[in-house]
Amino acid sequence: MSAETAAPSAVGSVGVGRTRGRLGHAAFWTVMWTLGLGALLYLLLPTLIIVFASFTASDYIAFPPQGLSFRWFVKLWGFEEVRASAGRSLLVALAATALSVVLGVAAAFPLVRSRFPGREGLNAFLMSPLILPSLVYGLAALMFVSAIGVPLSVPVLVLSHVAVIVPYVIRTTAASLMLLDPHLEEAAMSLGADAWNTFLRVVLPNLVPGIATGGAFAFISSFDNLTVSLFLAGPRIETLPIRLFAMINFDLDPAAAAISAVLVILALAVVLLAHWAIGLTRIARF
Amino acid sequence: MTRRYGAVTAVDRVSLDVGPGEFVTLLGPSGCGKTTLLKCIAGFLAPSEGEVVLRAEVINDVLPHLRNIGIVFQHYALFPHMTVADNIAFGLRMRKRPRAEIGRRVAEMLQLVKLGGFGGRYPHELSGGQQQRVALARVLAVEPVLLLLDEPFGALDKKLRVEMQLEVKQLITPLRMTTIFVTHDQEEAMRMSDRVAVMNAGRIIQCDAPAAIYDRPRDLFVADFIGNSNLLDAKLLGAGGDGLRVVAAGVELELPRDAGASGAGEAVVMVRPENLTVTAAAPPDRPAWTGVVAFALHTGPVMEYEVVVADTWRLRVSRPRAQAGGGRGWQEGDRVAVSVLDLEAVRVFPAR
Repeated sequence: MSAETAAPSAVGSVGVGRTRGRLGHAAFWTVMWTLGLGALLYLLLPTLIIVFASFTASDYIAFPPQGLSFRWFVKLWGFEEVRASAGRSLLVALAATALSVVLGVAAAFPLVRSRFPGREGLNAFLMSPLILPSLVYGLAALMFVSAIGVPLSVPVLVLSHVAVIVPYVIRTTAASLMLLDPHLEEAAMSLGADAWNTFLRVVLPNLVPGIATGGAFAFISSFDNLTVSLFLAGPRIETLPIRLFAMINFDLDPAAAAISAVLVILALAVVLLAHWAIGLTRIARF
Repeated sequence: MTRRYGAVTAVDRVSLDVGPGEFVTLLGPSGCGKTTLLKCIAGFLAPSEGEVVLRAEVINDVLPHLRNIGIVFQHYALFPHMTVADNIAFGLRMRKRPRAEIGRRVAEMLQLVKLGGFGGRYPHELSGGQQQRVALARVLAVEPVLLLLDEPFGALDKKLRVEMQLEVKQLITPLRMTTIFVTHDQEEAMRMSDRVAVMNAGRIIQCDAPAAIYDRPRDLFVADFIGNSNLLDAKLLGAGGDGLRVVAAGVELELPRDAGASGAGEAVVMVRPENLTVTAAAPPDRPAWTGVVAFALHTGPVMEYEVVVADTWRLRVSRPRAQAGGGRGWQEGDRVAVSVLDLEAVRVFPAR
């Protein structure tokens, strides 16, 4: 008898809890979406404005753009210095990225797979340029280079970029390596593969997503780098960010917006390329 | 050999001799050192002391890739970026065999493990059982001197596991491949092995044929770990007549002289549940416990009973359904007698 009278109230309380639960659920998603979209707009809006502004037909920077034209891009192409600095930036970024990938992948392997005293410390040290202000690093590198008496040159600039961007490669490669089943390496060895073959044929192909991600980050941060380049480029070696910086200081015309747009679009292209490379390996794996 | 990790001794003065073509299992609870021992044999770890000898050659300092020891892992460790055929060809390519021979051998292996036509697939496109077969084909392709199986069935569900055990056994036996198998599953060990080495706390406690391990466990750990057993508090009364007199759970039994422990004092008696039977009254010709059925369970072919004797000891009895007592079996609360069917199969150990 008591069980029968208790039953309806129990159902009632479950019903109330259900309504409250649904409200809470809706509130949760509303908050998340609002914050998420807000953050996205906050991040993207200035960048979108500069990209749109670069298509203006007017003689001055304006948003919204006055008319639509590619005249500033055409004009940009006409500037000998801009073309030269863009080419140099591309060369520096490609060389620095290639070197970072080789060094970063090599560093990640023992950092993850070996046990040695001071491993954590070394890990923190190798990550330090990510934490250290690059302005400080630029100054330090300049002092070092002049102390050992090496003249400033493109190779010096490349090496200084490598120091700043290699942590990206180490970090993402190490993350990929941690996710890779160590039994794969043992299986390869038991099948007769020496250390080199195990690494090149079994480990490396499975690290492509991590390396591509790190490489893309590294490339973009080298191509966009201003602070280290300011110290180490010297007066005769001009990169695109330095050119842009000079143009903004001199006269803020739509050509500066056009350079910015080129930088943004290039960064986007690199990220998409990396995404595509990762996608290819994912399809083969999962 | 011995293997230590810092202050922890994972493998403790273990000695194991595996003959050509033999299938030996390392069986023990997790953390007993069986995987460490396997890794030392494969060469992924170096022994702290002792030697690993393969075909009369000490191989302590031989790198893993030069040992020609094949290994199959629990999660197969197939190379995810290679097709099935490339996985199987990997070892042959490392050995720089001619291309035509590799092609022939891969096709042969795919046939052997019944995966003809699967050569172009990627591992993730295969079921667990199929991946298992690829892992086996990949190892067998290089004809290793010794095959190591590290819990290879652990990731499969129970039904598939039993099928694969049979399949692997059928595959390996005709090849006369010397095999060391690691598992914590005692049924698996019993089913597959010529000999089973039971390990605990880094040591091999007993290494014997499966039947011997089951019937004549060397100590309480093995008795408890292998199969189900009733372990009863007992008192050894010493030798008497032509046997060993012991009081187990209040009932005096006369066991054969070689039942295990000797002398007198505290002891533990082991009786397998299938060596006990339940009757309404004590049989006239042999000693019996009387008690109350605490529970009766159907497990398909077998009835399992637990009988509480003198409110103290619990006796587990398992009987085939056909002999389970009457048409309906015994019920909870029934007063019954429990007696030993074969006193030769009762073991006695010194108390812990």
